[in-house]
Parts: sequence; C-alpha cells; structure tokens
Amino acid sequence: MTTENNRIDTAKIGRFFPYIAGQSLLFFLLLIITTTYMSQKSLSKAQEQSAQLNMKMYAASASYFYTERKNDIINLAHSKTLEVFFSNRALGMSMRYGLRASLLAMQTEFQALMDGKLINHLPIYQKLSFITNNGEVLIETKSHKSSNPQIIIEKNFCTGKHAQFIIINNTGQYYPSICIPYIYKEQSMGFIVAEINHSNAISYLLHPEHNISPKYQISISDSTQIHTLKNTKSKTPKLENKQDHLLTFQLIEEKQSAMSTMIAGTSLLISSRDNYTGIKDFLTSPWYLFSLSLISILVLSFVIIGYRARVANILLQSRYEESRKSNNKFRALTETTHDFVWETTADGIYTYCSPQSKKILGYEQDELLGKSPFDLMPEKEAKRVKEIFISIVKQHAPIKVLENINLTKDGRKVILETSGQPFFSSTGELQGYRGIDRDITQRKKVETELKYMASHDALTELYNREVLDQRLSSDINRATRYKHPLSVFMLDIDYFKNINDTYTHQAGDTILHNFAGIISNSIRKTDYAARYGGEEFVVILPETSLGKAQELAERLRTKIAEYSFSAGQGKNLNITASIGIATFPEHAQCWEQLIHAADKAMYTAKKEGRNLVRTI
Amino acid sequence: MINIRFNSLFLLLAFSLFIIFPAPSYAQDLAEIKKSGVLRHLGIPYANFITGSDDGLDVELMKNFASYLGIKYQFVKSDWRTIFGDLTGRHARRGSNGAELLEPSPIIGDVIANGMTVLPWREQLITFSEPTFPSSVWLIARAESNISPIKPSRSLQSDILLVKQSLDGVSVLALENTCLDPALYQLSKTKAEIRLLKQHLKLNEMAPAILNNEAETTLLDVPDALIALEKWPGQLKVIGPISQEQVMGAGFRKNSPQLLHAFNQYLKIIRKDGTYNKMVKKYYPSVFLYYADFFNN
Repeated sequence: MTTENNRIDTAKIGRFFPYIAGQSLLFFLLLIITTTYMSQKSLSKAQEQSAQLNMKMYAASASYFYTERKNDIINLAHSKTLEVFFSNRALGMSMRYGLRASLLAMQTEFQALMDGKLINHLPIYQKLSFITNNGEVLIETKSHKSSNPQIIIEKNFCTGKHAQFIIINNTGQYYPSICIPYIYKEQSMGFIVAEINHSNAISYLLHPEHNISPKYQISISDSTQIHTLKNTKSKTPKLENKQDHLLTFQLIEEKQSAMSTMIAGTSLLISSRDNYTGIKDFLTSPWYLFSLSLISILVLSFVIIGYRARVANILLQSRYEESRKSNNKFRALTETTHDFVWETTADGIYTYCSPQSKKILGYEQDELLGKSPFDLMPEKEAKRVKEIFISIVKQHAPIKVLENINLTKDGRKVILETSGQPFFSSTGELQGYRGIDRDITQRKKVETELKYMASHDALTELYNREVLDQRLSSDINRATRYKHPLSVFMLDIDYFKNINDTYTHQAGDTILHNFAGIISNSIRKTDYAARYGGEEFVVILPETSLGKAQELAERLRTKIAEYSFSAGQGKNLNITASIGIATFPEHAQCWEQLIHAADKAMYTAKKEGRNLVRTI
Repeated sequence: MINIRFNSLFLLLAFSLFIIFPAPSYAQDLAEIKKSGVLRHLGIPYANFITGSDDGLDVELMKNFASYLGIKYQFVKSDWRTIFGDLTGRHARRGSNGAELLEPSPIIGDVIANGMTVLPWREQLITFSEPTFPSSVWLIARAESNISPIKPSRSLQSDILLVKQSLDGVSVLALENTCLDPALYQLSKTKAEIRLLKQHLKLNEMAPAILNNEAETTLLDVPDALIALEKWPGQLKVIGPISQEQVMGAGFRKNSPQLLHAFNQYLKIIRKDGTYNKMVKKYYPSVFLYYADFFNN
C-alpha cells in the first residue's frame, strides 16, 4: 500500500516537475541576464576609467621619459668637449694639427652618453649625431639597427634655442628624436640630434604594471598621423629578445579615438580606443551573456534529467520490489509442486528451473541454466521436439501438452508432458516461455499395458478376437481397394480336450501358450495371428494367394507336428493341428464370410483325419 | 766623436764626487738588478707620462715591467739636468756637436722612462728601447696671437716650412737639453725670437708660461700639446708642426744590454696582447687618432 502511494506521489511530481522547472529556468535566466548585464555595464565603466587612468599614467611616464632625454641632450650641449672643439675650430686650427683631438673627445662624449643611457639594459638612444647647419654630419655615434640612415635638414628642422621633440620622416620611416640647436658664442654651429630607441622605451613603459586594459588599444600619434603600437596585450614583452617583440610604429589611418591625451613636452598624442578589430574583452562582450545563458540552460536541463531519472529509479525500485515479492510467491509455489517448473528464452535456453529438476531429470537447478531442453533429449527426439518448438515460437502460441522423451542425468529415459505459455516484453516482443514439465513415464507405461491387454489374449499374447475382427475388416477393405488376395488360416489343436483331461488345464494353458509362440515365430512379418477361442487360432495373411497360403499352412502344420510340447512334470508330447484355409476373394467377399469359410475348411480337415490342411 | 772638454778643476771635482758617491757596482745589468730585488725608475714628471701623482703611462709601464721581472718597483724622481748622470754615473748635456759629458754622478736609477724623445745626442749617452710612443713637436700659440694656424699641405716638410716662415718676429719659448731644444730644429735660422725657459721651470710649464705672456708661442711635443689643449680650451691654438716625426723610448745604460733586452721582450709581449694600447688609451685617448699606424702596428 505504501509502495503504491509512493508510486502515485512520484508520478505526480514527475508530471508537474517540468512546468515548475521551466518557470524556475525562465526566472533564473532572466535573473542571470539582468545581473550580468548590469555587471558588464559596471565592468565596462570601470575598465574605461581604469584605461583613462592608466593612459594618463602612461602619458606622464612617457612625458617624464622624454623630458629626461631632453635633459640628456641639453647637458651634452653644455659639455666642455663641444666648447673645446668649436673654440679650437674658431681659432683656425686644422684637423691634422690639434682639432681632430677635440673632435675625438666630442665623439667620445656622444658615444658615452649613448652607451650609458639604458632602459632595462637596452639602449635608450638609437643614434646621436651632430649635424652642422649645412647638413654635414660632424659626429655620428655607432647606431643600432633601424636607425635613421640619413637625416635630411629641412627648413624649420629645429627652431629656437631649446631642445625639441621631433619626428623625422625619412622615406616613410618615422624616427622620434630630440633635437637641440648648438650655439657657440651666439652663433649657431648646428644641431645635436638624438634618435630615441622608441621601441625599447615603449616596451618598458607598456610593461603590464602600467598597461591599459587589453580591451583598449593604445596608439600614439603626432599631429597628423597615428603610429600604432602592436602587441599591447598583457603579455610581458621579452626585452632580452627585443627584436622579436619590438613594438614598432606602423602608420595607419587615423580613427576616432575614444580617449586621448597629449604626452607633455612632445607632439605625441596617446590614444586609447575600443579594440574593434580584435576579440573584445570576453567578460564585457555579449558572448559572455550568451555563454552564461547556455551554461544555465545546460545545467538546469541536467537537473531536470537527473530528477526525472531519480523518479524513474524510484518507480523501478518499486516495481522491482513487487516483482521480487511476486517471484518469491512463484518460487514458493514451484517448489511445492511435483512438476518441473521452468522459464526459457525465446531460443529455449533455461533461465529458471525449479528444484524438481533434480527429482525428475537428476540435474540440479544450476546445471540446467544455460542449457536447452533439447540438450536432454535423445537425438531424434530432440530434432522432432525442436521442430515443433520452433513452429510454436513462430506463432507465439502456447505449448499444449507436448510429450517428449528425455534422458536423465544417469541415462534413464523419462517421458515428460510439457505445457507452457509465452511471455512478452512491454513492446510486445517475445521474451520466452514459462511452463511445467510433468513426469508421465509411469502413466504412459500403465496406459501401454492397458492398451495391450485390451487387444491381446492374456494367455497366448496374440490378438484377441475384437482386434482380429477390426483388423481383418480393415485388411479386407484394403485388399478390395487394391485388388490383392488375402488368405486366412483357421487352426484348431487336435484332441485338445484329451490333453486338458490328461495333463490338467494348467498344462493345457502351457501348450496353448507354446502353440501360439510357434505360430508367431512361423508366420511372416506381414502376417498376424489371433486367438479365436478355446484352442482355435486364426492367422491372417494379407496379399497372399491361396496357393501361397497352402504352402505356408503346410509348413506350419509340419512345424507344429514336429514340435515337442512340455506338459509339465518333465513330460513332453507331440500335438497336431488341423488347418483350414480360405482366400479372399475366391472364397468370400467379406471378413465374416472369410472366417466362416476357413472354419469350414478346418472342420473338413478334422473330418478327414486331422493334422491336415484343407481348403473349401 | 764626442768633444769632451776637461779642465783640472772639473776633473778634481768629478774625482771627489766619484770618491764620495761611488757608483754602486751591483746596479749594472739585469742579474745585479734582480739580485738587488728592485727596479729603480728614473723619471721627470711630464705630461701624462709621469703625472707626479704616482701614476702616468710610464709609471704604469715600469711598474708592470718590474712585476714582469719579479722584483719591486721604485720611482726615483729626477730632472732634465741630472737625469743622464742619475742613470749612467756621468752628467751630460747637448753640446754643439752632440752629447757633452760632465761631472760624475752617483747612479741612482736603472731605467729612464718619462716620454723621452729619442734624439741623436741622447743616443750617444744611453741606449733606447724599441719606440714606446710617437711624437713630434708643434708650435703652440696663445689664442689671441696674431699668428694663424697653417692650412695643412700634403707634405709634413712643407707644413714645417710654413710654420717656420710664420715665426718672423714671433717669440718662441723653448727648453734646452730636451726635445724642445730650439737647436734641434734650427730655429736660430728663422727670424723667431727664441726665449729659453727659465731653468727652474719644467716642460709641463711651457703652456702655462705662454698663457702667462712669457712668450707668444712655445714648442710642445704632441702628447703634451694634446693635454694642454684639453686643459686650457680656447686659450691655446696649434699653429703647426716644427719637427719631423719622432719617437720616444725608455733609456738604459749602455752597459745594461740584458735589461734592455728584457724590456724589449716585455714591450713586445704587451703590445701584442693589447695591454700596452689599453694603458696608452687611459692616459692619451686621442693619440690613436693622430698616430693610428704606430699603435696598430
């Protein structure tokens, strides 16, 4: 009762759960999307603010960096070596005699500045040069790769007296530089031009510690052009392999910047804008919402599936429990009956055997599992029964009282009467058969004996008269249909009354039994004999003509006459018999007439002296 | 042919000094020096060869040489008047036809090394090592001098001639018995007014002397000129060359051939392995530009 209630409860819950779960899912999704959308907005704003802050920090760092470079060049311009050189030159000294030493000292000072100023162990300056007003390169330090091969002095190249940040465009390549005019005794001698290793500087300044959110792409531009810095992701630039990771300038078309600020002291503008070309920040992209929703749906689907599986499991357990109890009852029944109860697959393989298998077939239950009933039968019987079984299975029909012969474990034959019913799966597929085997060996034996006794004479074991009448009638019909002859012997023992009187009835019975035996052993296989009454016997010879019958009758008469019959008490005696022959259709047209004719012939033989064969 | 003049008084003085300060017999050649365990370096503070502050190119060179020999180093300060006597046991000076021997002197050093220019009269007194430094003599003037630097021609001889031609009526400071001796360059044949540096002054003081208006120009060897140009930028100017190319070397007693040989061997080693050029670069970084061939070889 409790199990039934549980089943009803779980079924109800199982029915209503999808509706409840659906509403919960919808609510949950709306909640997630709303909160995520709000979070994304906040995150975007925070990122933007962070980017602005970082950008300003970056601009301040860059500004400081360029200011320091200006100071480097200003200090260089005020160095004594430059004054010595230009004073010596002003005095008219020649390079060969004295001036060259000053120039070398100047060169040494330039090179020392270039070699001494490092950022993260990488040179800050790409090249330092002193260029005279007419464009002659007076001093040029050893340059690094990608330095400006030649600076072309243009009008307004570097104006004023102060250090300036300039970007030199030389055949499409851009070289950020610091330039300062050199004045000696109020006369312009030329320019000191320091080409900055911008890539190294930017690499350092864009270290992740200072880096702007990867959502925003940084660009640095001068007044008209943008030089984009590649690779501004959070990956740390490997400065020791600087050539691979240099953040080089690349000229691109100007786009509207979301945020920008000037790098103080330079003509550079640092910009940060939403990276439309790359993959957006996942957390603030619609993909995040989509992914979150998808994951939520999947999770809730799994929850629903899991719950339904749990409900199904409860139902299954309930059914199992019922089935187990039913099985127990069934087993209790099967174990109390005398019949062998079994269950097989549709192929006839035992899946269950009751304990009676031991009693009936000599096999334990477990020994039969996995075997089929046909394994227990003699070969021919197995073949026969198998054909019947296959036919039954095809029709999904019940097995109705199928008798079959089986061999017990010790080789004894037992006759079983098998009955069974098919059982099917929920989809209607045949699963197998359940049934019983009843041992009918004894019953069959009794039946056989009764049948024998009903058709045979108890003393002589020959057919009795009823059988004789039935068979003879049938054989006459067949002989008539096929136009075959049929002959009949009527035998009567000569002087049998005397034997009874002389040797007792018991001896007479023995003689009758032996006489019948001689007849049975003397006739052909197609012939049969019956006790017609008292000491009278009939032999039916189908498809036998009168001539052949006379020959056979004579041979039988002789055999009887020659046979020494035991009369008991150690005494033997010879007896004779008179035999009358009648043949169908010569002597009769029906079986009664034929018997009568043979009987008349037998009396003829009696009359003519006995121990004779006569025909009408 | 050395023209040696003796007078009785000088001989008596020399003999007395010889008795009073006998030359140490052990300080003759390499074996005796090694035995004594010390190499005595005679030097006069001059330019960056001997700065007077216990360093300089020749100080470092001789310290390393002593270390190479496995003996101690000792610096013995000398001056241009006595330096040959301090080495050989006999003072000497440049005479009209070469070296002129003077009174005996105690030997107080084993090698002279202070940027000494190899000159013929000096080679009569001592033996010079393989050249250690290139040199020549330039004419240096005050910045405001009317004399102008020459425009170099293709030949050094022409440049020297141009310089000498510009000396008409110009006062030139020089120092006898040194590489800046005017007689070495026949300055007397020019119309220059030769002014010899006061005896108490040293080579290092030639440039300050003209800045002090003691003369309008001065002779200076190249290493010293380079130092002066750096030291007084804009106050001095190089007019041009006054001499042919010269070399400097370490000076040894003529009876110290083994020590000379050992030094030449040592010099060969450090020039080959680059040690010597590093030392030179430390004290004369710009000299490589002028004398690239000398140091590259």
